[in-house]
Amino acid sequence: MEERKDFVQDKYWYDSLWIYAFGFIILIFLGIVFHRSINPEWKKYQSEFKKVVEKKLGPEVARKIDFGIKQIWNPDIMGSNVADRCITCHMGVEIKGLEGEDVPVVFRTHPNPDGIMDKHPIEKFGCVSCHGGQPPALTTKQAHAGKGVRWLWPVYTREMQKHYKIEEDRLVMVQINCNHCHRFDKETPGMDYINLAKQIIQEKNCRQCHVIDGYGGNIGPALTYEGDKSHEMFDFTHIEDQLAEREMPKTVFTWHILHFENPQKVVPSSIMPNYGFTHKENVALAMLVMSWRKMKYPIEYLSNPDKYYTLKLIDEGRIKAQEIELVSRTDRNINLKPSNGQQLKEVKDISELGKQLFASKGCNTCHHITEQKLVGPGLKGVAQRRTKEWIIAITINPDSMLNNDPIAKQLLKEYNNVRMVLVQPVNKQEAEAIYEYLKTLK
Amino acid sequence: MDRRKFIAYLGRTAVVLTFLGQGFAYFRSLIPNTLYEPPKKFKLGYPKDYPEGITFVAKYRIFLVREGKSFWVISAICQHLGCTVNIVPPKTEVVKIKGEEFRQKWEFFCPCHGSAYYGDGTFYGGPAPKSLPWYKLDIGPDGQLVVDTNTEVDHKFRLVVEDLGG
Amino acid sequence: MEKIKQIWRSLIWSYDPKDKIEATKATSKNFWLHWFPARTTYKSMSITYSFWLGTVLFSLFIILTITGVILMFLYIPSTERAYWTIKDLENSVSFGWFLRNAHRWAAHLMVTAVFLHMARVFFTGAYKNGGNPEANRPLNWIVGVILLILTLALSYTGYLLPWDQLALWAIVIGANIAKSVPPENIVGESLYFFLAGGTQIDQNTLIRFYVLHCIFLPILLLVLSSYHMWRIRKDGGLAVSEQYKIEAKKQNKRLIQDEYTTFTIPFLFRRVFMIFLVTTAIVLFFSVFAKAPLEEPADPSWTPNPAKAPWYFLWIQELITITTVKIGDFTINGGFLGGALIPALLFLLWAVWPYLDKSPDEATGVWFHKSRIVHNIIFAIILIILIAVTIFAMYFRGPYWQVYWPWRWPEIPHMF
Repeated sequence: MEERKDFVQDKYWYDSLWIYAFGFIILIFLGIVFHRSINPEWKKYQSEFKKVVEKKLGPEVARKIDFGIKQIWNPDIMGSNVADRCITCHMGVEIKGLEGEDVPVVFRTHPNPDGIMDKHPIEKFGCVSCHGGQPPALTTKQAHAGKGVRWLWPVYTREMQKHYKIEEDRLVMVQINCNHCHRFDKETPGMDYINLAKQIIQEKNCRQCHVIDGYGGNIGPALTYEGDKSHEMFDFTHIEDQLAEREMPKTVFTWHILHFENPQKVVPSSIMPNYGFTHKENVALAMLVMSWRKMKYPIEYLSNPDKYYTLKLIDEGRIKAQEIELVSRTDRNINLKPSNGQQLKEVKDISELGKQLFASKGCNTCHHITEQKLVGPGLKGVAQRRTKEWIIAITINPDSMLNNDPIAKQLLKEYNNVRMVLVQPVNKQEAEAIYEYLKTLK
Repeated sequence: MDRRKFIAYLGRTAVVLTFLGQGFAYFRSLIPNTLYEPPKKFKLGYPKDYPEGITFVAKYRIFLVREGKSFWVISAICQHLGCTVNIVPPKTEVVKIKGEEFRQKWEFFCPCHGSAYYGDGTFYGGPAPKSLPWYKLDIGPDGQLVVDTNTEVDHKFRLVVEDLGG
Repeated sequence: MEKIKQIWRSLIWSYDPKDKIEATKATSKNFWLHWFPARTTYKSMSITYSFWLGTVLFSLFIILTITGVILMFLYIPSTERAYWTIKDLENSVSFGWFLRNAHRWAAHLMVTAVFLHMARVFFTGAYKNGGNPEANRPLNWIVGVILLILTLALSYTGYLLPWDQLALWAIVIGANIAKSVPPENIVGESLYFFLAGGTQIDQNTLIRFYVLHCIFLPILLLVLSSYHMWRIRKDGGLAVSEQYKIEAKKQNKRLIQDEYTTFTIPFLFRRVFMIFLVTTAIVLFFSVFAKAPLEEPADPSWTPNPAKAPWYFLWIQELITITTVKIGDFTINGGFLGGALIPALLFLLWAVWPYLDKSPDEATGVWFHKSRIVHNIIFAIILIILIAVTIFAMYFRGPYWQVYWPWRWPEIPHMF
């Protein structure tokens, strides 16, 4: 280029210019890299937060806040190197005095209904274990979306509730996550949707056909870990047009709602009865089944930990599910002790007792008292169709009837080969009482 | 000629800067912004659960001392090179610390280089440059002991818990 | 000030020679530069002849080594932690996203550049000795094919390390291809056990791939590529340099060194440096404007639909799908035929091609020489088929590996 290289002509002098040019180009790219690294999204939120605090609580308080990446790290809940960084942007959750409507939602103090925050302190539970989301993320998009089809901790929002037509002014879908630890509670304060669903599970006797918590019938699919089932395992072909029509998202949650609404519309071959639930009940049931996941929370975080332990033992095949089933069936008895002859005598109207037995023995799970078919035939007028002996025989021992009796065999064929089973044993006296009740169904 | 030289200097500076910039980025990435470590302020459970005398809390490397209704916390990290000191029987029962008599039931010895501390953490032998620090101890709203290892306190500090709750 | 200038000059003297002797000494007396020749032919200095893809590759290797070593400090090869260390790179580590993007893009560019480099060498007939009795370019071509396989292996082993769904299932597919090499119960199983360290892709696999990726393969690549470059020197430079001798022979002239060569220092060296900067700029461009993907953490209980191999193995995955042959009860597994046999034969064919090429010496180092038209067409057809199959598998294979228009993929259901 200059006189120094005059011993040979610099044919390639422009190379130096290219080097300089690319030096500048790389500098520009590096500039972008540095700019992005120095100005992450969360810094904007933090400076905004400072302004909000200055306005609401005064500059004294604002000065005391220390900024930077904030995180809650509880290896017991999330994992050995998973930090919960939501509070980097949601800085106000623990600061009292930012409850008002004039504070942007991002910075608002976490509400504390029924002292829920005292029982679940943020420094221990973090945010994601209840609300879902992506714990280590520091951008809104990543933190809220939990992008991908099957994120570990789906995030629940009010917008999401609107998609599922949940007409509530509060966040109810978080109850799904509550139930990870409160799964074995009979009733948990504040979890109204899940409580409703649990009640339905008891009333409708779902274990007749489904394995739940390790025990139950095998007519339908096992539901113990329904929430862990992958989206690939659900068939959406029959509800595509329903989804479009009702503007519901194509998700497993929707699938469950629609399935509870009308099982046959989702799975045409299903024999599950259509119980005619309301939308709220459908949503509650969908939330409950989606909450049935295998979580690795340590024992001190669980309510009724012994039941989780029992479930684990059943999973590992160390105890038999039937044993639990018998135990829990006896404590599930509602009004009557089984095979208690004394109580039969006490009731004057024997058909009234039969009506109670009809419910407590779980007959109503499969049989409707009108002509409507559920799993089994509707029982209106059954006493006119069949003899007393036939009805009592099949009530006491359905198995031998289904094997030997021609009418019973015919019915079995008619009803998709679903065998009648007894939830609880029925004795002769009880069967007679039930017959008396069936006689009244005309 | 001057203009050429100027361009050359500018260009070379740019090239050098690209390397420095990348080098800085690589170096900076190795200085962590977030840590996976237990917090400096933590709960130690309820005061009534601790026996009379000294208890070693392995998780946080501290000693919790109880004398009736008073509690205090001494660090178990040797001030020499950071090993964990051990509780040993005292050589002499009564020692003089800063001109005051002090009855001790134990002493602290460091297994690494033999630093020795009196029962209240005051350094008296071995290579350690200073005494074991005492940390601020408080009682939380839920009744649990709260240690703040960010704040050191002097050796006269006592947390007196009147209501031990049975 | 003068003193500082003097010290500076003494430190960099060999890069800035004052006369011809110093320029020659600059290469031979400098440890780092002594694998350069003292003089370089003008033809091999041309940008448009070789596109300097070999230098690009070496630059990429340097970038990958630097970013890779830094990433090794920040990564934990454990199935429980690996994914979250990557998440931290994306989120909390300063410049972590940049490091990861740069490493990933440099790796993808390296695979691309190896293919282009090989295509360049083939289309110019640069694997020919061109009548030079000292040259052994066919051997260097074989080394090059091995380097291509090594690059693919490096890329493949690096693919698993983030331990997300994308990684896991790409590796599952790849490892099962290895398993289908017959006889399956001896060779295939052993290969699988060597790769996976067990019967499934788990912690054992991760640590194996980690060591392979960070130590074993890079060192092998460094050794072989050094040999590759040393051979170029011993073969008398780039193949295009043979043209001077061939032309001189034709015209019966003597070659005068000063007429067809110039000094390596500073001209070749400066150009190498320029190419390094260009490569860095390209890597930076991609790292700034395109994000490296990271899906859900690896979960063996469900497979993404569709699960695809990394793009440079997509042609193999597509071949696997279409090459399962069933004649009555007799079945040939496509995993073996399309996944192992066809690629192996292709690589073998490529490796021995120089020995099948009987074209005259004039075709050495010339783009699309007319005597090599058949070779070039065959090679081009194979290349086009591979690219077409890759594009087809990338954009037209939807859920359940069915054929879809890329804009009419069915919606995949989510959980919520």
